[in-house]
Amino acid sequence: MKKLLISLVSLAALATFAGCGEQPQTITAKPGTSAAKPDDLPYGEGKLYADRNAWQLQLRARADTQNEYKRFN
Amino acid sequence: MARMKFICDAERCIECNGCVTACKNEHDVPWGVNRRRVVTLNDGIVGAERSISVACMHCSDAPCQAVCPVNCFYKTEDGVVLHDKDLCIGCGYCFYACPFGAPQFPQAGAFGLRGKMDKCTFCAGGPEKDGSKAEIEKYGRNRLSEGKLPACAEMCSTKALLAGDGDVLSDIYRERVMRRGRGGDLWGHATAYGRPDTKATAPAVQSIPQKS
Amino acid sequence: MKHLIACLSALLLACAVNAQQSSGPALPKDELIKQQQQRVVTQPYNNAPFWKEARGAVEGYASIPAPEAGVLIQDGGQNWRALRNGTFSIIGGWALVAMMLLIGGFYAWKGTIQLHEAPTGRLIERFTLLERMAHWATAISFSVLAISGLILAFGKALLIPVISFTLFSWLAIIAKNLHNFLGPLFIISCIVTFCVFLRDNWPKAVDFKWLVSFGGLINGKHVPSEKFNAGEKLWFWGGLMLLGIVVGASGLVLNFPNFGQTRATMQLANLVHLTGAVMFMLGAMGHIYMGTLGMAGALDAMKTGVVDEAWAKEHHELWYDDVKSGKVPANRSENGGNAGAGTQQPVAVGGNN
Repeated sequence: MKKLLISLVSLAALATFAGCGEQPQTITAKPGTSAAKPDDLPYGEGKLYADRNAWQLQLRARADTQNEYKRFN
Repeated sequence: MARMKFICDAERCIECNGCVTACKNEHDVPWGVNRRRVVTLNDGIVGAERSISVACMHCSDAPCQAVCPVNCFYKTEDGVVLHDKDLCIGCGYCFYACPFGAPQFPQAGAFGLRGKMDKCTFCAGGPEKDGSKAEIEKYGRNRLSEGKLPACAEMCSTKALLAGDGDVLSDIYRERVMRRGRGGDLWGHATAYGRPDTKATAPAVQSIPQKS
Repeated sequence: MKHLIACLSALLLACAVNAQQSSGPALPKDELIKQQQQRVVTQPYNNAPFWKEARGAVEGYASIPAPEAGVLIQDGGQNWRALRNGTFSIIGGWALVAMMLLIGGFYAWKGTIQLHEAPTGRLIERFTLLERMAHWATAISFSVLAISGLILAFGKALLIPVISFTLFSWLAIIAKNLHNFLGPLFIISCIVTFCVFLRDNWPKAVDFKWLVSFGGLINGKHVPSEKFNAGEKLWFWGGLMLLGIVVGASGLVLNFPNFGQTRATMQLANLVHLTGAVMFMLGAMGHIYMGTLGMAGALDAMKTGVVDEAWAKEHHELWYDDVKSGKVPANRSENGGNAGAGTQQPVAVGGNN
């Protein structure tokens, strides 16, 4: 009984080790994944843009319109 | 790979609050929550006053993500920091950690009743299906999936606030800096509040020329 | 334990100094404004002094009437994050683990400390109903606060890998609300407990002798003590009162954001709360161990309110002597105290002549 209790307590103590230290926070998290549910990607089947490349080209072109030196000349 | 960014040009921002209004209108943000705001430092002091539009800056190593006890934040492949309101417990830790005051709460009630956190989504919605009713109700419109950029930047009248892929923004800003102070400079703080006298070398407050 | 306290308080001090440094610009605001005004003339479009000022959490103007809306950058959060996720979690987590191991080891060494003499069957009232109710209100709310606090602090690393996000989010919402609503209740029960037990916890000269030999716990020598021994008094003053104030005050700062306190205040309050809570939990682990597994008869005293004369003589001899000589009534409930309080159990008062 006593041995069981001691081993249980030490097991619980060991389990708390996992809480020590910070989890890595890097930009290389799996692309397009949410913590709980996957993010709905803005391109693909049934979307405005068929693939990532088409979508990126559109966003680039759109961002470029913010350059008024280009727009005015 | 694209890396979505905001830039706010302090030389151009005229504190019109157009971006704030655009954001509020685009996403039907509730009363009391401000995803974007314009901060003016040294308000009314000639020569030293500058305004900056600030919202979530979508950090690479986001402090909000690091301190969230339920890990509800995630990053899209374009570097946009988003969060899942279904997981959020409203503890306020992201609000303590964020240097820009981006995380907002619908309430600041007694006993820590804050409601679900709300913040700038870079107009990219949340984890729900793009453009779905659930996404619009929780996070507002998803302009990115429609091939558009954040409403605040696209509405900016002086193009002080820029949004989009970091490479494109760098090109725009670089060109702007190279041309600044020369003939073609039509926009900006100096135009609105007086151009510096190129001959003046003595640093004195009184000598700052006012636009005549 | 002492080292740990010293270490934690040193950290806290360092952090407070840090927070103060980051909350103000390196140069006074006026100086930076002057520099910026000159810079417009000498180096147009170079706004370095403006950005230096912005970095120092200077309050500017914003058309939004929210607290701190006019602050462009408040960089204390990065320090808070580094300390909370790193140093404080690591030291706090390890301290709790170490305490658990220490208690486990002590139990393996000593086991439950039994009475040396046979129970006499004559009972003395140790705690009245009011005292027991105050104690258990504090104990139960403390336990709930400790467990919910641990879930919020370590659940991300410990529980999410096991029970996944959605379930943990539910658990965390329950933990957060329990923590926030039971916190003020805990403070109230702490105050009641403090008032109820204050008289018997007044420090005396005998306590020093008890402390020097640690109550004879190590060498087994007998040290007489009053109704509460020096260890219990230490827990009363250092735990219930001091840590109660530290954890309670910092908790209230975090629990009521409706008063518009700034982020810098809340960052500091959170670190104080963490430090105090870890120390509180360390103390409570020792207290709970001595009150349950470690010492036979201790839990019964708090459950029923009465102890056997043999137990009283062995653990609290001076108090036993007082009861014997009639200085302290053996049954305080019936002698006026709080009428009808301890009468749930048949209180056999024997040998009080």
